Amino acid sequence: MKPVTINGLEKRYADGTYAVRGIDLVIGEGEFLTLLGPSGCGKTTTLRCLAGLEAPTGGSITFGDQVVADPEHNVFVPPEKRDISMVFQNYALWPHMTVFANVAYPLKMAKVRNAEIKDRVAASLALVNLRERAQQPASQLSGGQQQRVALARAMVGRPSLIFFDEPLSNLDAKLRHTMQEQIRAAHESLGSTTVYVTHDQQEALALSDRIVVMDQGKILQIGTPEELYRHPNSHFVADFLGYQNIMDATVVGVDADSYTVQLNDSDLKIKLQGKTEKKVGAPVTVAFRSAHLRLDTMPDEQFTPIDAVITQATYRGRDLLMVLEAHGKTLRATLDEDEMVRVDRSQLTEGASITLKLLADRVVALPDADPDSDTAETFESEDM
Amino acid sequence: MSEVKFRRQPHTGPFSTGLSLLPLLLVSFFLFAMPIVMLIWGAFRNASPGTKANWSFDAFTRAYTTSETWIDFRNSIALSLSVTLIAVVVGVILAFLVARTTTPLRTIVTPMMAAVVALPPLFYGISWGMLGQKDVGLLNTTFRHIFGLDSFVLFNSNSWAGLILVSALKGVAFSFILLIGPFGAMDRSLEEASQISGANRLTTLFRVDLMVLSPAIIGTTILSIVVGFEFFDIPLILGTPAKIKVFSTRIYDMIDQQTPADYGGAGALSLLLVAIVIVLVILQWRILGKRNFTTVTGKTHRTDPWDIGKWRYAGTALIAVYVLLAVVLPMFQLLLGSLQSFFGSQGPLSFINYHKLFANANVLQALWNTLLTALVGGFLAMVVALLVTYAVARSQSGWRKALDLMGWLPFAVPGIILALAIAWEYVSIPGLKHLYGTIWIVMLALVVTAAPMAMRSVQPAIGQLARDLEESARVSGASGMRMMTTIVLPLIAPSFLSGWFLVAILLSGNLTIPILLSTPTSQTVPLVVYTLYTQGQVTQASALFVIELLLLGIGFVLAKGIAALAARAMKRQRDLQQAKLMAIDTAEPQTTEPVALAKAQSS
Repeated sequence: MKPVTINGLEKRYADGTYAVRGIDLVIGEGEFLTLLGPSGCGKTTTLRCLAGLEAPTGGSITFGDQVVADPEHNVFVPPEKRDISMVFQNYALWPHMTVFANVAYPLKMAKVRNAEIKDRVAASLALVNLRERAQQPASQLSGGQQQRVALARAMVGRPSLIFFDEPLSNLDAKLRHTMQEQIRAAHESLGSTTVYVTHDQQEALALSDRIVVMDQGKILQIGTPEELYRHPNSHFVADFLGYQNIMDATVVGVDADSYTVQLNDSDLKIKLQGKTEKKVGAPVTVAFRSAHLRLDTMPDEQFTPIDAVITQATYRGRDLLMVLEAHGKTLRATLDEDEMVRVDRSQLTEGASITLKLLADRVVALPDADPDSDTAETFESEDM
Repeated sequence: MSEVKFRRQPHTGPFSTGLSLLPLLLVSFFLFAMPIVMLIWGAFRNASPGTKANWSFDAFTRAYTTSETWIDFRNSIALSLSVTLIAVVVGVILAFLVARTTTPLRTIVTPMMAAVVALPPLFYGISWGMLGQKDVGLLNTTFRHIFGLDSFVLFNSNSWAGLILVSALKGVAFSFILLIGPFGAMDRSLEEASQISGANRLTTLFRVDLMVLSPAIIGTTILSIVVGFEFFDIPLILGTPAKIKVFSTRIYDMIDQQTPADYGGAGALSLLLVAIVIVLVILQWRILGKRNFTTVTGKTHRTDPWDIGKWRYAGTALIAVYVLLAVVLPMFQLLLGSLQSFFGSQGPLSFINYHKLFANANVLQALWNTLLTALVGGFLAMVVALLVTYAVARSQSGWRKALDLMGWLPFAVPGIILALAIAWEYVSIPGLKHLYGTIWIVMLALVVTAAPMAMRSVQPAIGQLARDLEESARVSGASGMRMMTTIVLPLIAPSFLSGWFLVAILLSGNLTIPILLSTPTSQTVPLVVYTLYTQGQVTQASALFVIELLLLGIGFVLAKGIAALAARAMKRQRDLQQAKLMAIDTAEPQTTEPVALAKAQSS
């Protein structure tokens, strides 16, 4: 219920390496915001600075109107005075206490009356379906149950800010799904501001109001799940959000509401929907998902037909992943179950020719990467 | 196709079947279990070894109805508990300062504690015996000099206070070494979760840190009590002049200071001490086994140490005082004493004591004996430990449990009692009798004493030795023996070597075994030091101990160097199969490794 303002946040270690390098971010009241990025991108450090578990070396953090960290003015509010709660990756339940005592701990610290503690712990445990486990030692529960206790402990004090540090990464896929629902439900019912850290894009998309993609201690893109999913602003973000085909191209034709690009070192031309300010001859990076190469399209959809040869086909159950050679380029395409049944499977084997339709309005032109930025270099090196 | 012989139990390694364990079982029984059997047998036999048996319970009634026995028993309890109290409290504070705070000087604590644990208790006995000598001890003369007093005694080592303080110096190091592992390994997110819940650092310290570490602290307390019951060298040297006897020195007296020696009575008293120690050790294992709270997190953050403000200077002061009392003062006194013509002399310093020592054939013999028993005995202990540990880890036979238990048996038997038990064994079994009185019986007894420590030093290496390395050797066509020599031995060689040196260091400072088992021709350096000291040749005793310490120092440096190599080799192996080791719980119960070390020293 408090907005969080982060200004120029920096965390530099004694050995001179930066974990976080200039983060500016405003998190709205009651917002569910996710920090997404690969390991080492600085997302966890940012969260730990918010929680007060690490002291930033530069910039400032403000909760509501209270500055909680500002090294330049020697302000640092310790975690216990920040009125927050946190769910840790490894649960961090105190093994010498029962489930009840673990959940009751934040209330005891807040000097809540015993009778009220009893009721609130019971209510909190009921929310995660663990009421009947209250008297067991916390260390005897399974991983999933432990994480639910940790969630109950984070909710019981009704904090205005809740932090999650990769809470689901130690759980199996099925548990992850139900826990996601519980976490989102907890956020709704408490109305608190939530900051969530993960490296899993699916988790981020499913949970968040807004996602912040980070790499090398910096923010690359901020947006709603749909914005990020449909309009990544860089090679890195596109790659991280599952764009399997990312290629350099040149603009060869511009129309009123569409334009055409030709892939470099190839005669393949792709039509893109929308206006562009680029002139003919300008370089551009295009990206599209493997699922946007289809066998058929809707009647009024714009598309580019692509003739290809299948070099590898992998049946994955829910879909068929194909690696294609097309016009001197390597592309990746997937056919879902419905598409697969419409084709004779013998046509989908290695060496077979196939014509696919690339949906014009799904192809993304990535804005030019800033040639001076650090991240631009990694894009090149990650290019295959 | 040739006929393949099928076995009920697949023969997958050198020790995988029950039958292949048999030779090892027999050797272990002879080394570790037989002395205890003989001790019980001797307690009922009631006659000195070699004379006619007189079967009865007399020894028990005689030993346990004497009021002296119970006074000494109470003394043992008092010594053990008071030393434990100091050792655990100071140990916890120091471990906390080192693991979690920015206290200046904290980095020197761990290496220093390792050195104090490795220093023989005999060193503390004689150096503090000299420092706190009431007339000419350095502490008292300096104090009188500074304050211009005539006959004031600041500190008398030959007293209860001296006994407790000097024993506590070693006790603190022992408990620190046991605690620093768990303190360092504690999952930091448990603290963080508490702070996030609104608890400040102090509340977190008491409600979370100390509670989570309580099994380690309780375990350390119990082990410290065990070690306290087994103290021998320090009570012998400091307690005897003050007429303070504890249980272990009384057992020694009944054999060595009494004519005729009361072997039956000593055996009867020993059994009580063994029983108490076994109960305590089992209690400690149960506590540590059941409630191991200190989990190592998979994800590590650089956690900032706790800035404790002005308190850190109090911490630094504590560290400084400890260094002064446990290392600087005793070393200085020993060195000074070795250069004086007589103890307390104000005259010029000289090397006369060293000249005298090197002119003494007995001393040279003792030096040779010490080198021989420490190196060869240490090597044998390591070989037995390696075979037993490997067999226990790899065998599928039910007998491996018996083997495991036997290997740990010497752990529960105080050194002086072990010496007594081994004396019984070798005198009573025909064919072994001619070993009695030779250096070889001393060496064999030292091997038994060193076994638990030796096992601890090879256990982590064997635990980390991934089984599939061996299996791939077998699949590649190597026989069991071939696999041992080409795969297992090269991989654990560094740990074996460093363990060997550590064991040798401990054995070379051991007094309890030679004091009962040596004859004039089979003396070792610690025994000669003790004899010189009790005969009043204090300065010569100091000089001989300085020589011993120099040798120990060389051994220590060698052991450290090899340990560093071993760590590097292990790291390389770990890097190779990092993914696999993530799944295996590599958190070895570190707490027990130094136990054996301190244990081997304490008795």
